[in-house]
Amino acid sequence: MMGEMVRAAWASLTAHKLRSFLTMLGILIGVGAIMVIVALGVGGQAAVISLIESQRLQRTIQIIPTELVRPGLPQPGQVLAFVPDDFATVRQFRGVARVYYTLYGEANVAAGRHSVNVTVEAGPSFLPDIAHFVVTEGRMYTDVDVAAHRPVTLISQPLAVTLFGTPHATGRVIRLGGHPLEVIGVTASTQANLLTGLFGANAVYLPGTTCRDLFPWWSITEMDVEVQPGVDKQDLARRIVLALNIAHHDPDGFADSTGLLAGLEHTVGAVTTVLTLVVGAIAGIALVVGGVGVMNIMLVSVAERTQEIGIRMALGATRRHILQQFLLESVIVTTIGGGLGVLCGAAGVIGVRAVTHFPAAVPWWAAAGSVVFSAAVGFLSGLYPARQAARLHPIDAIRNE
Amino acid sequence: MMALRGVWKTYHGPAGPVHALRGIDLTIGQGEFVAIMGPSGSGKSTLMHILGCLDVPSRGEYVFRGRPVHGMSHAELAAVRNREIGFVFQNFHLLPRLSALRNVELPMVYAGVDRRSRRARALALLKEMGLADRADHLPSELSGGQRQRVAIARALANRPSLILADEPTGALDSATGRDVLQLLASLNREGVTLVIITHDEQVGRMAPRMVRLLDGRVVSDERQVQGG
Ligand SMILES: Nc1ncnc2c1ncn2[C@@H]1O[C@H](COP(=O)(O)OP(=O)(O)O)[C@@H](O)[C@H]1O
Ligand SMILES: [Mg+2]
Repeated sequence: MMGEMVRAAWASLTAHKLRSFLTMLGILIGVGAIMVIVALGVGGQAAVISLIESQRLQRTIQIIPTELVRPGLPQPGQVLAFVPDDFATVRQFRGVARVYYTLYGEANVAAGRHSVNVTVEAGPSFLPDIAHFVVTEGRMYTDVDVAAHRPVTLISQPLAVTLFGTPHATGRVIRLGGHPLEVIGVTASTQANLLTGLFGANAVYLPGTTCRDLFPWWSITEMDVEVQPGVDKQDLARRIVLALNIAHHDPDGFADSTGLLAGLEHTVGAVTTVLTLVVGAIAGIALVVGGVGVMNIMLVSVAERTQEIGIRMALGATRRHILQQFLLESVIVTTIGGGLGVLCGAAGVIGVRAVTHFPAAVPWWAAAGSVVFSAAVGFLSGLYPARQAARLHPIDAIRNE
Repeated sequence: MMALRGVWKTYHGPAGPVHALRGIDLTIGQGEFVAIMGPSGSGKSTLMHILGCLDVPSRGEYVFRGRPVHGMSHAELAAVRNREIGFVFQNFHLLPRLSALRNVELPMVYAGVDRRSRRARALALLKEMGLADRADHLPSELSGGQRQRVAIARALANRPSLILADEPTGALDSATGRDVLQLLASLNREGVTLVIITHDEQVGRMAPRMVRLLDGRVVSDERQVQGG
């Protein structure tokens, strides 16, 4: 019985292929859009969480001036900066593996007749891990380079092309803020994200010590403390912050920004929940609109098929049979529409990944949920037309002779 | 087998009530062959709808095989139509998108017969109707006579005790019509009660009993010595 009904429903849908397709289009687009948005949301959340939970950050305490994270714009004169003594102090703490800083700034780079402003990032020899870039040519500077304040630098591929017309710039010399530096390597960003990818476009990397020599007026506003395994990170962070605040005579001078990151994780979770609700509401509206379309077409179909309904009733179909037949058609249409929507959404997500490297992914529950929800939309919007069909009087349908 | 007592059927059209049947008394026994005749608009089709449990009387009583129809639910009426009655219509009323075979299967689908048995029975019926090689054809690919024989096969699917035919030859040429009538008459000889509605005197004369309607009333009910 059921098999026969599915076959009958399928036959009547394929008899009007274009109409059936247009009917499912609304559902298809709605579900496809949901898939893409959910995939972006889930991917974004995963990216933030993986950043927060990355190995290095797990073992690192990052200390920054509290002024930087207060609401509103930081007042330049009031932002505390670290002094060399601070690093010496922190190095003394038990449980500290190493202490380093990363300097950020902007400066002019010149080579030959070309001259551009670039982002300067100066830090330890393992900077590529932190700043998400790889050395594509030449080498990274070593701890020896850092200790010796060597005038060496790595430049990003786009910058190499800008300055020298080729990505192969190893061995050339650039002038950073007027000071000559030997290019020992070329880098490429590994940042998957569109936004952070942009930062790396024109970048110069050099040892922190060298940078301090060139730009002594750049203040150090970030201290990274790598912790030995098995150490209570939070307790250590608290004690370090206390010591620094005492040294700077400011009870609220510095803060542990990894603690702030943990808070960020909460915020991201909350934002994602809100986003999911909003997307859910929009998706719901889209599917309701799609459902109204389905209802409309089903009503047309019922009106067109009064004779068929009458014949089936004369042959012994009950109202329930007729109701089931039309409900089945409506559910099949929307379920297929939802299924195609999932496929289109997945294709869109694959496209987004190919273009932006953004780790978007369609979670299985969203795909399955969308198909189930589409089926429910089909059921609800088919209910009224199907009841209309079931209430037809057999002779009204047969009489038109 | 079927008894109508004082049956009225009133339609409420835009131009006020129309009395299609005005007090019909009629009893049809098991295995009878009855022709119902009358001019257009005399209420023949309305009578057939009531006999076939497609509609219920506005007034009066209809008892089908000992069961009063007015007390039956929609589902019970559907079951009676499905198991007890086979319909043959002037315009065949085959479902246009189903093959001959699947049209014949349809009453068995609603009776809950499993697919294999229903296939076998439908094929056997089409074979009896001389249409074994047309099983997979759509109605549009068949001639009028062939379509009506598919419709008769479909009417027989659930081995009904009653066959109701409303102008079964109306859309056929006279030779084909005669074949169809012979077929129906032979079914009656095998024991099926047969009621044929017609306004063709020649058709009427084939039946042992002829009921004439006029303006919703029975004006004559004659048993005749069988002709051809
Ligand atoms: N659904 C209906 N609404 C209103 N009037 C109807 C309806 N069906 C039939 N009638 C009227 O009832 C009368 C009998 O119709 P019918 O039984 O079809 O006659 P016949 O089949 O003998 O031509 C006619 O006058 C017809 O117009
Ligand atoms: Mg008629």
